[in-house]
Amino acid sequence: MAYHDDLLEQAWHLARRELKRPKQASLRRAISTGYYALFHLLISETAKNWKRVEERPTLARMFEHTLMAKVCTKRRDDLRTFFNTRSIGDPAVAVEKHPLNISEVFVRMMGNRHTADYDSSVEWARSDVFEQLKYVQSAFASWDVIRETPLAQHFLVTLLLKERRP
Amino acid sequence: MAVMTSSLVHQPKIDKALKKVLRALQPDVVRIRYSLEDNFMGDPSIFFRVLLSDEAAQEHHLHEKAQRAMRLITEAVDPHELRLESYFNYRSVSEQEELRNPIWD
Repeated sequence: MAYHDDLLEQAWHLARRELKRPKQASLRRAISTGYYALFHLLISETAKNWKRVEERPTLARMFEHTLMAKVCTKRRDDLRTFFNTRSIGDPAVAVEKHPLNISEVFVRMMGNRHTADYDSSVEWARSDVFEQLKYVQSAFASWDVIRETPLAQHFLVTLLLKERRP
Repeated sequence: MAVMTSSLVHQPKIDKALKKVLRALQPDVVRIRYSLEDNFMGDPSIFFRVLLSDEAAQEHHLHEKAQRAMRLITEAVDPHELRLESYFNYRSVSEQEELRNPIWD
């Protein structure tokens, strides 16, 4: 399995680790690991496109979490606006719902990761962690649907781009 | 400043919308609470806390119930129109009895 698949599996393992009375350490690490699963899915799919295999790890290190979140937020907002102009049966909706899902989940999980890793005042419930990991799982599934499409590949490249002033 | 403005202006509208949507979500959803504050990136946000019945929180249909709650709450409150990022967290009645966090009561 790929590293990002292993991370998602590990996140579920942590979420289920204690049968009763789950430890906050397990639940918080589950959330963080779930976020990193999606993060590494996106950067590895981008790096795969680099012809020189030995340089792919270098390319992967260029990704910045905050920049990716900004790109995903904008993509999400643009797609929501787009959906408001389309009917449910529109074929474009069936395709674009996947990058929307991925963008939404990335932004949401980044916030969750921040809380889980840095805010010790927040206690997590296992139900909540299960649901957040389901979101990550749905983002993985969405990626599987669109991975070879031009729109998906364009999305990956934009994750590296800093906003330029006009 | 942005969050305070949101609180003052939007709270009555949000409260009214949540009261209505809770009726549609019962008995799966027992209670909905929320906070208005900036997220980790400094964006004004609304954080929903959705308390589920123990039945609704069972793993085999938790996702379906949580998704429905998120969809109906989002439609009713429309955070996007209020220029708020939205976040949803969930727990069951039993989990809240264990964790006893007053912001979920």
